[in-house]
Amino acid sequence: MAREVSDWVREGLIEPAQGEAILAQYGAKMEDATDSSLGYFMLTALAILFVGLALILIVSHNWDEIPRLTRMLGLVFITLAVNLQGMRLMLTGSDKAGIFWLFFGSICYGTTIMLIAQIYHIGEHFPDGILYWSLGVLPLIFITRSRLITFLCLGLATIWALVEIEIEFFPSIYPLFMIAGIWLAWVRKDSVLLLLSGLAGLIFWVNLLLAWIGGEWYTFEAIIDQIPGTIAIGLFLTGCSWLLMRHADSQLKRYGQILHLWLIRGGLLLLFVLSFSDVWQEFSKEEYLFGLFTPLVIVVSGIAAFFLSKPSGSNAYGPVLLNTLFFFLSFLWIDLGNVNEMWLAIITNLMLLFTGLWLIHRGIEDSTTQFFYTGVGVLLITALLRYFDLIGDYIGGAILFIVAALILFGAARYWQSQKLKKERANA
Amino acid sequence: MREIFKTWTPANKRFLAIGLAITISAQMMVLVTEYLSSVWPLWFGNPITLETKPVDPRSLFRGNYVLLNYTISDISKNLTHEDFKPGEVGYVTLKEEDGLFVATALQHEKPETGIYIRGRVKKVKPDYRLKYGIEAYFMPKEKALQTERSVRGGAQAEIFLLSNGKAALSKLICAKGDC
Repeated sequence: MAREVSDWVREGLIEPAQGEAILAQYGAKMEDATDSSLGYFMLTALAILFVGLALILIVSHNWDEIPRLTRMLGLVFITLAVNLQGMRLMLTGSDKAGIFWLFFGSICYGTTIMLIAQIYHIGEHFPDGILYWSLGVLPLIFITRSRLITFLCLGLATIWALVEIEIEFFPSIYPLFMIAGIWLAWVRKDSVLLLLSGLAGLIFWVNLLLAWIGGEWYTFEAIIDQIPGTIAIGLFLTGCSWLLMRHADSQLKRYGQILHLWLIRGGLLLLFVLSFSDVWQEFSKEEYLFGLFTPLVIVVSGIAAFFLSKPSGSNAYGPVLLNTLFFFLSFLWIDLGNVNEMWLAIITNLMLLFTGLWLIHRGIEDSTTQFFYTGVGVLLITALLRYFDLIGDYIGGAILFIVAALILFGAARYWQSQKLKKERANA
Repeated sequence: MREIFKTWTPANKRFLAIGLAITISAQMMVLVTEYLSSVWPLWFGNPITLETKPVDPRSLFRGNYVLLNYTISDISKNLTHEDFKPGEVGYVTLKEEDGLFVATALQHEKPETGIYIRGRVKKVKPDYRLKYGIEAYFMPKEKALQTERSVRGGAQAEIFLLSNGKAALSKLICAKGDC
C-alpha cells in the first residue's frame, strides 16, 4: 500500500501530506515503501544469533586444558563487557547498535550460565539454567522495548517450558514471559507476531495447567476439560478481537483483524476435527474433572464475547452466539451422558456449512477476498471429508449432502432476492 | 504513579541507565550465585565415594558428558515406610561399607543424625529412582567416549556432601584405564 500511495504522489495525483494522511489510516508510512532497514536489521540479528550459537558450541567443546577459573572469568568478563558496550551505545543515542550488543550480551550471559554448570558438573534440574537465562533477559524487555530481545526471551522461556514438561515438571511462571510479550506488543503497537505468540503461549499454558491438575499435580494427564476450556478462551478472545476492530487507533484495529483471522482458522480446525463421529465417541467415554462447571465456562465466556462484539453488529455477535450455543449444548450433553455421537457429528458438519456461508457472505459484504475463499474452501473440504468418511451408511451420507445442498440453494436464492430488493430500492 | 510509569521509556536516559545497570548487575549476581552454589560443597563438604554405572549423551547447551547412574539411584521400597510421588524431595541416609557408601533409608524429612544425601524422586515403580544432581560429568567428546569405555570396567565417583544433603561431583575414579 505504501508503494501504491508513493506512486500516486510521484504521478501528482495527490500531495505528499495527503499520502501520509491516507497511509496513517492503515498504520503505514510513505518511507515503508523504500524501507530497506528491516532487511538489514533482520540479517544483522540473525548473524549475531549465529555467532551466539557458535559461542555456545565452542563452550560445549569443554576446553579442559584451560583452568576452569580462567574459562569462567573469561566468559563473565566477555558478558559484562558486551552488555556495558550495549548500555553505552543506548545512552549515547545509538539505539539499534545498542540493542544488537545487548542481544549478544544476553546470549553471552546464558552461555556463561551453561559454562558454570558444565565446569562444576551441575546435573541438578537442568532446566533451571534456562530459566535463569530467561529471567535475566526479562527486564530488558521493559527497559529497551526491543522486539528482538523480547523474541529471544520468549523463545528461551518456551524452550525452558518444553524441557520442564519433558521431565514432568510444571513451568508455573511461563505466563510471566508471555504477558511481557503481550505488553510490549500493546505498547509498541507494531508487532502482531508478538501479540499472537504471547496469546498462543498463554493458551498453551492453560492447557498444561489443566493437564497438570488432571495428573494430580505431579504428572501431565490430558483431560477432556481442556477442549471446552480452550473453546471458552477462544470465544472470549473473539469478543476482544471485535472490540479491537472498533478501536480508533488503526494499529490496534489491525491487531483485532489479524487476531480474528487466526481465531477463525483455529475454530475451523477444531470443527473439522469434531466433524468425525469417532472423535465425539471418544469424548463420550471421558468424564469431566470439573463436572458441570466445564460446559458452564463456555456460557460465561460466550456471554462476555457477545457483549464485546454486540456493537459491531449481527455479523459479529451472530456467530459468537451460535458457536456458544453449539459448544455449550454439545459438551453439556457429554456431561449428562447417553450421547449420540452421530447426531453431534451431523450438527458439527452443519456448523461447518453455516461457517462457510458466513465467511462467503462476509467476504462479499466487506470485499475481503480472504474470507470469501476461506468460506469456499471450508465448504469444499467439508464435502471432501464427508465423501471419504461417511456419517452412517451410504444413504445417511447422501441425505447429509442433500440437506447441505438445500441449505446452499436456499442461501443463494435468499442472497439473490436481497440483492434485487436493494437494486429496486436504489432505482 | 501513572505519570512516573509513563516517563519510564527508553527515551528517558536516566531510566535507561539505572534500568540497564540493575539488569546487568542482576545477571552478574545470578552468575556469582551459580558459581558459589557449585563450589560451596567442594569447599566445605565432606567427601564420600559412590559406585557408578555410566552412559554417554550430549546436553543441548553444555556439550558431552558421561551420564552417571549410582547404586544409590535405585532405592528399594523396603528401605522406607513413606510414600513418594515423582518430583518429591527425599533424603537418603548413607552408610559406609568397604570404603563405598550405600543407602540404608529414604525419608521426606531431613535425618537428625548421620550422613545423608538430598535427591528428587524420578520414578516410583518398581523401586524408587532418585536423582541427586550429580549424574552428569562433563568432558570433551573424545574424552567422554574414552571414559565411558574405561568406566565399564567399574568406576567410583568422589562426591562432596554439605550438611544439608546437597551434593557436588568432584571426580571419577576408574578401576581400569584413565577416567
